[in-house]
Amino acid sequence: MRRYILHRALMFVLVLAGVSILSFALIGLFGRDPAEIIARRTNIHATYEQIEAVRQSMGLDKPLPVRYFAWLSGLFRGNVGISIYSYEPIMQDLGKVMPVSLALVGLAMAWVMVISVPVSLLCALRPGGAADHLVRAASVVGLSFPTFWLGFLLLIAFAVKTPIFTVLPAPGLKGYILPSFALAVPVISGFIRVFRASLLKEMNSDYADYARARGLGRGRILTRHALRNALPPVVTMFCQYLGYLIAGGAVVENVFTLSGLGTYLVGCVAAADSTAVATCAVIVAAIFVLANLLGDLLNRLLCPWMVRE
Amino acid sequence: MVKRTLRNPQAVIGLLLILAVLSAAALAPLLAPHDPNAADLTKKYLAPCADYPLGADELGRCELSRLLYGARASLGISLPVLLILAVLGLFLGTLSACGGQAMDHVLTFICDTFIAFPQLVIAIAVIGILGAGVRSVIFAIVVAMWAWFARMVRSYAALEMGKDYVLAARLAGCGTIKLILLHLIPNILPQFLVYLSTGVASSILMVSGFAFLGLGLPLETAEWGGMLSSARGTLYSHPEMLIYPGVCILIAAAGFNLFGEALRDLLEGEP
Repeated sequence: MRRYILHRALMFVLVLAGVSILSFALIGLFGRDPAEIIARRTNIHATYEQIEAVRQSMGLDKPLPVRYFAWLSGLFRGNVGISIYSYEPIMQDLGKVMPVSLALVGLAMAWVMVISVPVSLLCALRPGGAADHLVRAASVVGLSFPTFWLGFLLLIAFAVKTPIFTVLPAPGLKGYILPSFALAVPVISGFIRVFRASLLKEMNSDYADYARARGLGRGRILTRHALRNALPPVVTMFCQYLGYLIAGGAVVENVFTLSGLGTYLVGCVAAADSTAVATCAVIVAAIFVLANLLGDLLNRLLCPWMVRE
Repeated sequence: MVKRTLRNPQAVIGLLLILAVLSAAALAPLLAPHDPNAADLTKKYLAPCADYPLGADELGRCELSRLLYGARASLGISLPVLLILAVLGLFLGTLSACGGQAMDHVLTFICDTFIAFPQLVIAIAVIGILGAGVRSVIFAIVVAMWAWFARMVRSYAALEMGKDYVLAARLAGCGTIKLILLHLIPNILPQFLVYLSTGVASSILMVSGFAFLGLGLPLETAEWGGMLSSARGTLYSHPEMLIYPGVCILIAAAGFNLFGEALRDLLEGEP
C-alpha cells in the first residue's frame, strides 16, 4: 500500500509537470506574438517600439524557460499574473469560469447516474429481451451523437418549438439543464454498454448460479449480489469521464453560449497566452488525475478482493 | 469469421452505413447536382425543388451537394488519421509492453501526460502552428488521440505477454522483433480492429467538432461541422439547415460504431 501511494503521488507530480511544460512548448511554437496581440488591442496601428514596450512590461522578452519558472513560482504563491486574453488576473477569471464548468459537469454526471443505472439493471434483468435490444440499439446511436448538434436539436425542440427554456441561458440551474443533458448523452450511452456487459458477466458467474440454486429470484441476485461486483469497471469509467468533461465541454458551451473553462481555454490559446493556458491545463490535468485516483480508491473500498498488486 | 460477421444484423447495418458514406465521398462529383461552393444569392434559403433537392443555404449554395462533399472532408481526414494511429499505436504499444521496464515507464508517463492534457488545446495549437488545412487537422487529431491508442495496445499486449505461447516462442529462440510481428500483433489484431472502428467514429465527431468551432479547415469548405456552425443563425427561421448536416455526422459515426460494437460482441461471443 505504501508503494502504491508513493507511486501514484510521484506520477501525479510528474504528469502535472509534463502538462505545464507541454503547454509552454506548444504556445511557444505557436508563432503568434502575444505582445503584438496586446499592443494591437488598444491601437491597431501599434508601432514596433510600442510592441517592444509591451513585451518588456509583461516580461515577454525573457526566454521561455525563464518565463516558465516565473510562472511556476507564481503558481505556488497563488498568483499567476494577468491573462493576455481577458486582461484580468487569471485566478479571478478562473473563479468565474470554473463554477460554470463544474455545474455543467456535475449536472451531466447526475443525468448519467439517474438514467443509466436503472436502464442497465433493466437490460441485465432480461438479456435478449425487447427492452434490452432497444436500449442497445439506442446506446450505439447515442454514442454517435455530436454533442453540439444534439444541443441544437434540444434548442429547436424545447426553446423554439415549445418554449420551455430560452436560447440564451437562463440564470441559475435552469440554464444548465439542456446543455448538461447534451453533454451527458454520449456518456450515458457508453456507460450503459459497460455497465450492462459487466452485470451480465457477473450474472453468468458461479456464485450467481449458486444463488439461483438456492432459490433466489433473478432480480434479487442482480441487486443483492451482482450489482456490487459489477461496479469496478463502471466506477473507473465514471471517474475518467468526470475528469475528461471538465475541459471537453467547449463545443456544448459554444452552442448554449455559456462561458466555462472550455471556452476560456480556446480564447487563451488563440491569444498565445502561455501562462493562462498552462494554469488551466494544470488544473484540468490535476482534476483528471485525481478523479482517476478517486475511482481507483473507490474500487479498492468496494471490492477489496479484486485488487491486483 | 467473415461469415459470422455477415450473419450479424448489427454488423451488416453498420457496414451498409459505412459503404453509403464511402460511396457518397467517392462519387460526390457525379452525384452532386451543383458545385458545392457555387454561391447564388438569388437562391438564398431556396425551398427544396427538383433542381435543389434539399434547398439552398444562406449563400444560395446547393445543400445536397455540400452534404455529399462533406463526406469527402470527413472521411478524407478520418481515414488517414486512422491509418497513422493504427501504425503508431501498434508500434508504441508493443514497444512499451516488450521493450523493457525503463522504456515502459517512460512511455506510460508520456501517454499519461497527453491523456491528461486538454485535447482542444493540443488541436488549436497544432493547427495554429501548421496553418489551416486538411493536413494540419490530420496531424492535430493524431497528436490529440495517439496516447489512447498506444495505451490500449499496451494493455492488450501486456495481457498476451503473460501467455504460454509467448514463452514457447521465446524458448524456441524467437527474437523480440519477430515475436512482436509474427506472434503478438496477430493475436491482438481482432480487439485492435474493434478499437479502430470505434476510433474512426470518434475521429469523425472530433473533425466536425473542430470545424464547428472554426478550427482547421478554410471557412468555405463543405464540411458538416462547419455547415452547422454557419447555419446556427437560422435557429428560428430555417431550423432544417441545422438538421441535415447533423444527420450526416450521425450516420457516418453510427456506421463505424455499429460495426465496431458488433465485431466486439462477436469476438467476445456475447449474446
